[in-house]
Amino acid sequence: MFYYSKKIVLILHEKAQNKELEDDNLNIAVCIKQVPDTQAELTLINDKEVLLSNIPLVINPYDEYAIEAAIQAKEKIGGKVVVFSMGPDSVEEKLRMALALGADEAVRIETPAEVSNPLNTAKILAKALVKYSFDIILFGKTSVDENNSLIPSAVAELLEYPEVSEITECSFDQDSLEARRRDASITEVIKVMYPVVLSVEKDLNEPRYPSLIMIRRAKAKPLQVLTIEDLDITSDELNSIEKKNTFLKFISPPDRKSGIVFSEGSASELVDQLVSRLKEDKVI
Amino acid sequence: MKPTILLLEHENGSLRKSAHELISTAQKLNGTNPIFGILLGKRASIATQEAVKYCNTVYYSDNSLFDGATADFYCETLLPILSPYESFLMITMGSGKSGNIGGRVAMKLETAYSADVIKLDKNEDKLIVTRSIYGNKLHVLFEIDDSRIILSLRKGVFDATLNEIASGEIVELSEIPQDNKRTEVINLIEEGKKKVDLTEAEIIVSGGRGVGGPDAFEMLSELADLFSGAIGASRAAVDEKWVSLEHQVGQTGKFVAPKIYFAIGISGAIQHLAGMSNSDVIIAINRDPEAPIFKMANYGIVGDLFKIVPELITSLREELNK
Repeated sequence: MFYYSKKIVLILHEKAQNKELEDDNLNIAVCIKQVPDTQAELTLINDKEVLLSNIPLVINPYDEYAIEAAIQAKEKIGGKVVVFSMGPDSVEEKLRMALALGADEAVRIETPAEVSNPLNTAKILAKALVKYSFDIILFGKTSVDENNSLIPSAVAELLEYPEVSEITECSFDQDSLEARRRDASITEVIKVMYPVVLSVEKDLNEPRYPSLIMIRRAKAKPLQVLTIEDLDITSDELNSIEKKNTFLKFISPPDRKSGIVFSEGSASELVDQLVSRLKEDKVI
Repeated sequence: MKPTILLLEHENGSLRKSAHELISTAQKLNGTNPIFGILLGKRASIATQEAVKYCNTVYYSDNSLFDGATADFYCETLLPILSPYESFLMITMGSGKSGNIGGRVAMKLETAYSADVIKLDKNEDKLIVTRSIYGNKLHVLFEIDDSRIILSLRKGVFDATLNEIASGEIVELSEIPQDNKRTEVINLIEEGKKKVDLTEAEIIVSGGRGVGGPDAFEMLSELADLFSGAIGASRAAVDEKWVSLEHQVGQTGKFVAPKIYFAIGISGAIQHLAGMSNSDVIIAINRDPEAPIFKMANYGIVGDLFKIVPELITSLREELNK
């Protein structure tokens, strides 16, 4: 059963001729996102706009583990790591960081003005990824700004790859990998043949720091910029998804007020004060 | 007909709390549309007995191919159920494999989609969803307008009270996709001791940098055990490896919404507050009276946690045994 748009099926078929990377080696992709630093305070200008201009932008924390996993995979089994990100010019700094950590090439996809639905982000990424023939495509398990956790699954669906999500351990081999993930009270140990999409948890590895030499070398590594025109995606196609969700407004989460604080007395006196108050308020 | 289709999580033949949240949400939203519950995996057939009290139709399969299967396999199972309907609303839980499955189906069918929803309202025919973004620093409201809609809900924030309806119909799924042979389940390791899932816990006892080391977490466990609660932790305690990552509450950990949240030796960094500010009641114990956690705690004690927590355990044990 296929529900893909004809265009994507065509591209999938063209994939064989389109390989831009060598066949013998493994091709590893890692997709990253630039997000506001989690320590930043956000200000609402009005109910339609958020002030983001003064906030430092960083690589999504989960994606740092995905980059490290990609580099470790390459170190173990060889191959090439290509790092992708969709976003404005400032994303290139984050891509250079990934190159300094050991990725070989970078691709920035210019965000089309009309895109805010994550299904469209997945569509665009999938079209960029399919130009290559990747064996392993890595993502952080979610992005800490939008928290959709959608992109890895949606990209895997478009490429018809299986996905192993939220992995906590992984060992890479020439034609397959073995990964662990937690599913409620069960730890699953799964072996998957390539190609595969992986999304990673934080305890997967210890991300390295780039050396000065690598930072210098990263400047000479290829960084390509693509637009949706390069990917044969039309505005109409994107708008058909965008129009399903209409943005209404932003609101600030309800404020919590500080309550009662006990600070005078011995430990047992403090606990007595607390517990009798909890009883009074019917908390316990 | 526009069915509301729920992917229900279950364990050991019982519906999980997350499944109650889905059903409760669907019942409140619904009006006259039928509710379909879908149960897949080990002991699903047993869980149908519970689900059928609240759903008009329950589809199930306990085929062993679901054990450890990846989301694509579930997605292929669901497509034949969904495809005949010109319009439907499908709701899953947002985290883990359920979220992955909903996401894949949404992409394949290009439905309207919204993930990690924290509030769901109806405005005439249209759905208004509220999402929490930037680590709960902001809420955003969308109107969704499409004949096919897939949503995932954030665990623990929706009401879980259920209304029994007249008993529905149980349908075993006869067609399960072929094993794709690309993935192989090497092992499924069940936890020895039954642990309480943080996102489903009614009481959470969390420790931060102030607890000083892994030993203090035994003391916190004793407090949690009084309420059959779960252990949480700040990022600092997890980074120090005093407890494992699955206990982390916050923007890069879990979002929780228990009835009572004990924050012990946690100063209250903004990323931690993001993860627990939806708790009903927050009780903070910290020796620093200036700690930001006191600004949002309903109750606080300023003092030495190593003296206060043992007293608190004794006192609460007496109260609970009364």
